[in-house]
Amino acid sequence: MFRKILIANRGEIAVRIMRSCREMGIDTVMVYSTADSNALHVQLASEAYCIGGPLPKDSYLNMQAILTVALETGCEAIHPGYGLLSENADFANMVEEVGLKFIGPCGATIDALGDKANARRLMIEADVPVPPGSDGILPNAEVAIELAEKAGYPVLIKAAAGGGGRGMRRIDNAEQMIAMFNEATLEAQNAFGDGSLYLEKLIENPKHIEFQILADQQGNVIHLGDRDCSWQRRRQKVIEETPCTRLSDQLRNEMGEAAIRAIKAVEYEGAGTVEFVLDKNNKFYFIEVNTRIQVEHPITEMVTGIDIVREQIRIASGASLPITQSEMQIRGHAIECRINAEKPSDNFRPSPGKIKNYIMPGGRSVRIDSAIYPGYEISPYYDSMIAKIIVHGNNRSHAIRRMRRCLEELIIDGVDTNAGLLYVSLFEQSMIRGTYDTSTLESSLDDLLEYETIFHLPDSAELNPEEDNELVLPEER
Amino acid sequence: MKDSFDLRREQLEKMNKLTRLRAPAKKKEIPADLFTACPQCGNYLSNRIWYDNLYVCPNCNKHLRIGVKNRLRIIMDDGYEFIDQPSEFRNPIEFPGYQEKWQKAYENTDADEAIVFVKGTIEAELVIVGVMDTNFLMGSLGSIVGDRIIKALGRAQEEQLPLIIFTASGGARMQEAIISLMQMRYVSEAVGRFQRAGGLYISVMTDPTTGGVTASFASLGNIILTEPGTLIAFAGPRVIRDTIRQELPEGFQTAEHLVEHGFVDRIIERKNLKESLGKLLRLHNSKQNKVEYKEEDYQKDKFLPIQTNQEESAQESQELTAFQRVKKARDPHRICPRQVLEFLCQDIFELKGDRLYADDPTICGGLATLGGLPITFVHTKKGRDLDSQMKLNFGMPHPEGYRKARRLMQEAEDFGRPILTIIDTPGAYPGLGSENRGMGEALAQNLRFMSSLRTPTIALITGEAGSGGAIALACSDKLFMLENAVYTILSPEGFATILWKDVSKVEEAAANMRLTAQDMFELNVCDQVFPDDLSGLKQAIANTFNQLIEEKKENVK
Ligand SMILES: [Zn+2]
Repeated sequence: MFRKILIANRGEIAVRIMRSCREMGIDTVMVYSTADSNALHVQLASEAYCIGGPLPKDSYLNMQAILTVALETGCEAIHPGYGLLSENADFANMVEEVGLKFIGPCGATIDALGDKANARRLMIEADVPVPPGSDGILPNAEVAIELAEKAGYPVLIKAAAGGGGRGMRRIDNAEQMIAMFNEATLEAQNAFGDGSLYLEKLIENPKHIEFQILADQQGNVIHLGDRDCSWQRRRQKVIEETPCTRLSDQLRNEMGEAAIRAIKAVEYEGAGTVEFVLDKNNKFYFIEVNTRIQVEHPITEMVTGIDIVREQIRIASGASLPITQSEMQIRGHAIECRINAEKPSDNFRPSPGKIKNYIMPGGRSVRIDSAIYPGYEISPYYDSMIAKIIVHGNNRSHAIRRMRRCLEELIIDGVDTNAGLLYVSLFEQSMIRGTYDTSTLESSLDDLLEYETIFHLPDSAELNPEEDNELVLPEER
Repeated sequence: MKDSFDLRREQLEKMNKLTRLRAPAKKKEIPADLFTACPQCGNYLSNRIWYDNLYVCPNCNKHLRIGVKNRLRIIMDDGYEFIDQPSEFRNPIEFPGYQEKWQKAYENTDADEAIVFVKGTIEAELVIVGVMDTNFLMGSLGSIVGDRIIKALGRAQEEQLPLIIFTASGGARMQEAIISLMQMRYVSEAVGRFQRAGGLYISVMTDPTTGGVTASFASLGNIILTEPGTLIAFAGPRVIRDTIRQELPEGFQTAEHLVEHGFVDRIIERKNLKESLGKLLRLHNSKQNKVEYKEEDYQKDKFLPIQTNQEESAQESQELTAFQRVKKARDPHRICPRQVLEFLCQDIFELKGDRLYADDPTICGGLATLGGLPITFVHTKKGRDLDSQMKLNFGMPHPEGYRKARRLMQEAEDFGRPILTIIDTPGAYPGLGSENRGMGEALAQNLRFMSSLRTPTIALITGEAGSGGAIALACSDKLFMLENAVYTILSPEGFATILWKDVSKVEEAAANMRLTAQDMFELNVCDQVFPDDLSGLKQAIANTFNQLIEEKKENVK
């Protein structure tokens, strides 16, 4: 086992990783930017080094500075957290090159899964369903129509070389394809110097379902169940829960097995997340693999009893998985709310500033992952997420009511937060029923923002107190 | 709060000493020479990543200077051979200390002089390639360098191979003084001889290409490519600053600047360089001598860029007035020359610049294949939205556009490639810059030049063809038009104003001045008219080119 690990991140996830390390008897080294000298991850650290200016590229993305600190302080491994350098193949390679262990898959694996077209090809080979579309470049509109008819309209045609929506078209029928194919080619040609296009079925308003995966160096792969992350605004997840109500046991098994096949398609080690979309007819399609710890990992920890960060570190040091798939059990239901320092009524404008007062909810089966404290100044340089509230309940309605209770207790003075929006979200009909999809939050946002007028209390029938049986807590592992 | 944190840390440190079970981890050695910083953005990367990325910064796309070994690794297929005689030091003006300097460079560089030549293949196309190395006396143009270039050109001519040189040089070799200056003349002369004998010479300017190398063989390529950010100059920035004591604008003398000013054909990212060269060599080496569309090329005709109900449009077409056709020809959503080009051609490779003043984006030209046959194309551009229309000057070219077209057509003539021009322009741009740079002269030259070409030429008018600006691209063997294209001496509005001093009589003018495709056919200006959906065009272009190729062959006999 490692004796010392450098944590190349900041904020709540740096604190979260340090907590597991301390429980495992591993020393940690923190790095920070000049804007973060008062940050909690620095204040709680026994060893911390300033590595540069406030801009991420000067500090948290400064690979050379981070590696130098790691080597100078005698670290044996580097945990990248999420965001920042966590999915940077160059960094992973360099960590290995200087003789340290990168906690996560190797650079080649990050690259293989990061390249969309390559990942799609790998998944087809591994028999993981991908959104129907073209396997390569579309030679002409005729082939495009053929494929579109096979996949079913609407479809997207996208620039193979591109991104950012340029050269991308939504196509609803053959006439549109004929009309738009050359235009899209031309646009792609102008924008990227390469007019080649590919085609993918557009899955409208799906549910975003992801599977948590653990893979050890011995080649064992298990999944730790699903997470429903469909409550999103502009592709930013806001509320996550597990398990997803839409999945039958059979479908969950199918998707879990597909997720494991997806991971086995490459040489993978550590924690990872396989993302799917689930359409109206409960058909699921592979989207991507995130090769890092996710923000929403605690809900999986709540229902499985497994400390995912601890497992990441154990796996990196060569240990094998603690359980097999058949031993994995999901108990109860967990929900996470992301508290952001922002003003929802003012178009979610970030709200940096000083935390004056701060009371976090507590009580049974409540977990707070946060990096703020009274007197802490939220920096405008970084992500606006300041805390995560995670609750566990016997069942879904229990968990929802526990989360409402938590948000009722929560007080953060000094900055604006989205806590009010989160609270009313938990009264929204499709949230209560679990039927929401990735478009729900945005389409109901105006209503939700008018708290007073639409404040809709649910029927008692919809949240049935009868369901509240005695909770069997998962055992700690 | 901060005090509480500090206090706790102290307490823990004390406790730790008592409770710690394991020895603390030991510091590790930092391997030396593991990282290199990007000279542009400061990004530190391990040397292996630089190697894998072809020495291009993944962060800011800076293309680092690379020596002979890496250049050959990136460009050549495996199995090339070095073809130079071993270098032997010479000191033509007995310059003191030269030998020591040369010897040091000789020992410390991958190369044995500032340029080396190899013979091998790029994407399976046989070619002779020269690579300069700035690590060897700044890649300066000494007499051995000159000799090697001349020998390589001679060998390429003898074996009928194309020649590519990657230039990288600080310029003349000071230690050889006037002898180095003479090399500029000798190598330029040799390049001329090679080109007159029908050889293809591609110059790839890499960072930095300056001084006597820029002012000789580097600028003489039939095609000149470069990498992003390359410094290309005659007098280097320091010389200029010291001489005229003037701050230079940002981006001055970069590859991007040179393309804008018409002296370089294309900037190619290092990772795409091999593929681009392969494509150019394949086009050049092609043995095909006629247009051979395959069955599936014709099948694509079902999916023409513009779909029309044939019956309806045929009927409608009959009834359109001349002015209605003018409006159709001007419709910004009408099929554009580029779409027609892509409908007819493949392997399109654009080439830029007039080698005199600028690159005019309104006239586009380059190489492509038409049913497998390599051709040179030239087409005008208008843009569909205001943004691109502004950039493209609403389809009105400047003199540099016509000079670029002429330059590319001259290359086509030299290499015996047929020429296709596709035209949609309201006319040449009337303006101050245009006149100062001799618009009249540029058009006149094109008329004389195009009319005397021996290689087959077809021009196609897809929309408007306004006056001198159009005919300067349309003096072809055959002229085709789309049914709603118009060809005019000046706009109907202008016509009405000049003749009747009344712009409202524009419809009358359009009707009387004879400007529709049908009119052109009747007046023997145009040879064939095609529907706007291009049906039949591919076949006709193929047949016409093939017929012209045959006729011209006869004439030569
Ligand atoms: Zn850089």
